[in-house]
Amino acid sequence: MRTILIPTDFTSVPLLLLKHAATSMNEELDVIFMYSTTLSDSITDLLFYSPKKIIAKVISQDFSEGCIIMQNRYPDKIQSIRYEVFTSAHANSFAMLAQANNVDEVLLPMDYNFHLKHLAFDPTRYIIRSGVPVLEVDLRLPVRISEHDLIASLMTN
Amino acid sequence: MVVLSLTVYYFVTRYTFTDFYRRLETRAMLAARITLENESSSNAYREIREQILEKLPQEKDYLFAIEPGKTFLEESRELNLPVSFFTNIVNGNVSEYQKDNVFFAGAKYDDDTKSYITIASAENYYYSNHLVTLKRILLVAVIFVSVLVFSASIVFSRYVFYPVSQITSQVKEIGTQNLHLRLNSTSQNDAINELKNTFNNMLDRLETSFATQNNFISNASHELGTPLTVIIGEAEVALSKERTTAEYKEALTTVLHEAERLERITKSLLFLAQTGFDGKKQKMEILRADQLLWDVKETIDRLNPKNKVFIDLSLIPDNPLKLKIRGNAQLLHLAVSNIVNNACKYSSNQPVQVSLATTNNQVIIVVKDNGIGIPEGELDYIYDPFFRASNTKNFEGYGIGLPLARNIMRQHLGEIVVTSIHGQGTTVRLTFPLEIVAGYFIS
Repeated sequence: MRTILIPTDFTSVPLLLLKHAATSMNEELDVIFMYSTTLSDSITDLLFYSPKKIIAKVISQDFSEGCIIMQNRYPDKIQSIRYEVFTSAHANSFAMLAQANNVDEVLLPMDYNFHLKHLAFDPTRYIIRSGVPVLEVDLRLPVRISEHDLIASLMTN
Repeated sequence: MVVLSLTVYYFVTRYTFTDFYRRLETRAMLAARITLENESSSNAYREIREQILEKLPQEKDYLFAIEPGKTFLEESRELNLPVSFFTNIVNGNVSEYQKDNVFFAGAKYDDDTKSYITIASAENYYYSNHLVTLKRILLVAVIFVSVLVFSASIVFSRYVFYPVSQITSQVKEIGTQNLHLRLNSTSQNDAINELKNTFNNMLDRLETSFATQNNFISNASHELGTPLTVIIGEAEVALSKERTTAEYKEALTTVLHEAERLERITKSLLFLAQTGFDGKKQKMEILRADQLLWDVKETIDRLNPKNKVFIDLSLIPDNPLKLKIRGNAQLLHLAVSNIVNNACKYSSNQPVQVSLATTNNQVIIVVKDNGIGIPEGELDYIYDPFFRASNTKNFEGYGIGLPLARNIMRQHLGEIVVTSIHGQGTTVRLTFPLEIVAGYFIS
């Protein structure tokens, strides 16, 4: 059993990383999709802070369907998929999050710019500095990846 | 209102009656005491009565001794009271009786030696006067409030339904001649505005379908007319003078070619019309989506040997049960092969990727090419029969494949989504509902 963490911007790229992991690793996988976002300044928002709500706000139907496609394809490999919210821009706090979730490895896409919406940020440098084992994957993505149809781009890349 | 007034009136009447009877009873007892007690206390009673108790209008007292065997027939006749009034008192009860405006109350009074019946009567001033006033007040109040409520509700309902009647009058103005008119929607976010926007959206759709209809006719006549013109022209030229056999052959070949094209168009039109009917029952069976793709690949290979269709099964599920769809094999084959064929055609036989995947309730087929794409502004019209994008001049075709495919997808409760970047390629996503098949079917 291996726990992998994939920083996600809810495009097809994290799913393609998952696909890569499922094809290349010979172990059962616990998958954590980590969404990195700064918190809102509003006191009310902080009072009613809920990671579930934050995820629900940004996740798309296509992304969840993509997860189901992957689970259907590799039912024996992918044991579970869950989501984490990473809110502080520090290497230490990422190391703590990784430790708390028993993360064995972090998968990062090579040469990829995150699609950042709302308050999201790119956690790559904190992940690299944290000392958690990182696997950089060259997805050989086309220069421009169509985000109109997430499932189609998941299926054709 | 009426019920309230009646209730008030009823309870006030009841209260007045009981209250008045109680007063009469007190007076009757007092009268008996004045008459029957010894002098000193009778004087005291008389004083109480005269000084403290209010004198009632038409107040009268009667006192009758009760003797065994007496029937009170005479007394009852004299006072115009029923005999039961007296017998009731003799039995020890309190009797009450009302005659028009005059009220009687009687009780039994026990002296040391004898029993007496004491009766007091008086005109009920409250009944005759107060209740009439109350009646009048309530009646006026009921009428006044009814008028007030009625007029207020009319004004209010006019105010509330004003926007609705406005919509009605505006919608009435829109006919086939002026479909471009729209309702004036405001920026307010309320139900009425939502209704207006819904109407406007519906008008948008209506206008588009009218435009499509007009387009279809002009396109169809153009598409059917072109081969006919060629045939006629060719025949006229050939007949204009004597020709050699080779020339006749050439002319006839052209005619045949155009006639064949005409036949293809009419055939596909017929197909389009047939698939457009929803009520028509097609034979539905359970198919495997991957099998469908292989069949399509075979057909394309036969039609166009230079194609580079690549079927990607890297995402198909382990469980073959998740590949089942319900549909008519021929129609689905036609739809998918149309789309794959388009992909090959408009990318000049560059690689076309066909992928298959399933979620828990859908089977998804994605066809991706690196062809000429569809200009952004024209994506809305690709399902119109005979529509051809502006960049397709160099490709043969007559714009029936995609509308046909969409009709077929609709029949199968599926969905077709086309995304395209002009000059870079087109991606078509077909989504079918997954057919739930019983578990024993595992092969």
